Amino acid sequence: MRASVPSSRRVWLLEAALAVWVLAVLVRLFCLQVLDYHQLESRAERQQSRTVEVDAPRGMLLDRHLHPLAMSLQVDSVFAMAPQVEQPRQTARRLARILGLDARDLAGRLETSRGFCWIARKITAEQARRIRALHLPGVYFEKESKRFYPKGVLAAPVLGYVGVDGRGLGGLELEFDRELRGTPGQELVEVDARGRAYHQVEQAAQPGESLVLTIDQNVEYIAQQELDKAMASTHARRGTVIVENPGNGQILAIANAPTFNPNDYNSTPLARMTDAAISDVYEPGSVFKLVTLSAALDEHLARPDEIINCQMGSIEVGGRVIHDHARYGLLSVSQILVHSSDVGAIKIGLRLGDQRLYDYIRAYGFGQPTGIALPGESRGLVRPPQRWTKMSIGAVSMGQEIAVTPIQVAAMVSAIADGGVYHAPRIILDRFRGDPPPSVPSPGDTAGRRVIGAAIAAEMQAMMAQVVLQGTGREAQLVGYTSAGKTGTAQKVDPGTHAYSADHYVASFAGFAPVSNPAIVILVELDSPQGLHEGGEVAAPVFRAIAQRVLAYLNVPHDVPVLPGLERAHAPVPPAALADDSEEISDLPPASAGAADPPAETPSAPVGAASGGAVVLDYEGGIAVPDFRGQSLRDVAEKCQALGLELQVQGEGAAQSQLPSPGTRMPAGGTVKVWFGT
Amino acid sequence: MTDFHYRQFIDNSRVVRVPDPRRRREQRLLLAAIACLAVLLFGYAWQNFEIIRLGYQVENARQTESGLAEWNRALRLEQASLRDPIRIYALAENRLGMESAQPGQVEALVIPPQTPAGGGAVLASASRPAAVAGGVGSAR
Repeated sequence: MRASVPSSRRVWLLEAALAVWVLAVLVRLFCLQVLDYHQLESRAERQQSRTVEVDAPRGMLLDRHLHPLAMSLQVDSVFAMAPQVEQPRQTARRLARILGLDARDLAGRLETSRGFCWIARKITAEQARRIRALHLPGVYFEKESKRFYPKGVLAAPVLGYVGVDGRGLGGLELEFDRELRGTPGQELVEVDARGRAYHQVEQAAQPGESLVLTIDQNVEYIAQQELDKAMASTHARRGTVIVENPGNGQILAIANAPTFNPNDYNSTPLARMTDAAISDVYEPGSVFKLVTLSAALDEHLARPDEIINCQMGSIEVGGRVIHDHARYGLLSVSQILVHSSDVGAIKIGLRLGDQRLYDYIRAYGFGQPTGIALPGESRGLVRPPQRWTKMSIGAVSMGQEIAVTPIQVAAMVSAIADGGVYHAPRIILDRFRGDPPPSVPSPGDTAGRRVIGAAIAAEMQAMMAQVVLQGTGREAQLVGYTSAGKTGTAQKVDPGTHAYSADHYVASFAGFAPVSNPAIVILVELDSPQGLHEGGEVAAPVFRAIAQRVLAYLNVPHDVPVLPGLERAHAPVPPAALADDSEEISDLPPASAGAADPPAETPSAPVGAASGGAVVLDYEGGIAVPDFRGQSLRDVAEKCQALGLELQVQGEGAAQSQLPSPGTRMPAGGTVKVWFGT
Repeated sequence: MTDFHYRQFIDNSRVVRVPDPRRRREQRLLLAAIACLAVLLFGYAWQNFEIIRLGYQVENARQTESGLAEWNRALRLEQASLRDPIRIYALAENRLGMESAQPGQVEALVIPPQTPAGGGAVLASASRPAAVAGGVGSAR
């Protein structure tokens, strides 16, 4: 019988085997958790943690009423991981059909690429939906920010545009690119085996700064629409309109034609994307006589009623004879401006002399940038008096031998309109981060510098009003408002002959309204109009059209009565249009019912109530809004309560400005908005 | 050589185990300690898993918030596009047959309130609207 292993030995063997097994486990644990700890930890981190750069939302551009003019949204961009694409040619064909790409080129990229490969960036939602529906292997989406301009062409050169990489390439987008872009953030995201994130540590992105502009989108639209009409009728090469608040230099509108749509800038020539209002220079012509005459009046070298011999339209300056456009004899200084006599302006300029005239030119802001926050501003061309020839005083006095930008001319006229105080033009009203403020920021006042005395400015205003009433600017007369301004018709230099052209002109009109209390300054400039080319013929009507609409929009009270008893000009309403939409819009009968007056022959004919009916506004029986400026909040509130007006308050301190203006009539219960400040 | 083994039957049925209170107490304490340790370990594990679960919820909520914020921006953009003056004017002119008021077409008539002017049919009667927000404020 074989001897059996003692039981104690079996137990010992079992224990030994168990000990070996435990030892092996412990050794393995030691290797994993001590020796390989760092390597395994970093591998786990790579698998589970991802660092993602978070783009900061680009700031918005808004108009003065906080209407978005430019804003960004996240849109899909489609890319491929080429090794994962199973059938490159078929995939390329299907994608190209949706995206409008070259299928062969796309297939080539997919076949040659070894990894990441962009297919199309910032595609539309519809394109993304169609591609997703295909479930193409190896094709993925990534969110990118895309810039949208919801107002299309309005203020396009001012706003600029943003390239595919999100960088500003023109206008305010370029000038404030760093502020608008903000600061990117970082996210450390931990993901599970399925790639779902369950934990993240975020270093928040700082959103870009948003800008509130002084631009009013409705004024901008009016300016652009009227400029487009003028371009269509005159076939001018280029046109610019600027609307400015003379009291503080705020730009309400800058319109250029031709212009472009920043949503689709790829197909636009570069020349169209520049803002001609600040970058293009031109010889201002007769508009510049405002500088000459105001300087002479301010230096007490002339008086508005002083008679000057215009020598029947001919004068010799520096050995050269300059002819007037008409043979004027004796004219008063005021009449020199009204009739735009070159000889008269030269004689006044000669009284000033080179240096003094140059000083006033610089005081009005010419020969230097205005400082408006837009890129590419030209300083214009003003030679110092040391480089003037004997003839220069004559040429400069009538607006030649000097090159200016439209914004400089608008600022000059604004200075005259604002009692002789020059305000640098402004385009930025406010800035903020994050959500827009709940209300429109206070207009605020900006300090200006005095160029001419207030009394001199008043005399200039009166003379400019005469230009409109009796002189070359008659087409700028308004209905219900007084207006003042100066026409300009400057010959352009022929680049071939280097002499002044007899065929190409720059027609302009710069003016303001109402004269008694200027609310707006408007400059209209048309480069090379065809056919009619005088400033009074082509630019002044544009001023009139814009001023009439903008003053009504801004609720500026009339300063002259509207003439009664005249026929209303309107076109009968197409019945079909009303038949479809009358339920949606109103229960009123069509406007053509009972009144079928034909349209007026000339658009400038004053109009009044139609005989068939009336739109009755009974606010004339209402309450005249007092002047609250300078009063405390308590006083203003008490007055409003006594008058039965609702008060809306912005800010603290003393009343700085109000809407509507003092003297406006309102019904009881109407709302007055008052801005307070220190 | 043959070994002889003698079997001796021992009856231990009358042997009674004497209770050992000290041992009992030690066993109970040991059990309680193990139970506490188990509770702590399970509690720690539960917390861990709960953190991960809540992490998923937070992440989902974050995605939802981000999506809603983006949707809000998209709606604001759409609103801005719909309020484009070019579009409004085109709708008013082409679809509704409206036109801009001609200069002087809207007159301020000096009449008592609530009384139609000139005896003609009143097409509309309205008070002057409240002040428009913004704009240039006072003219000077």
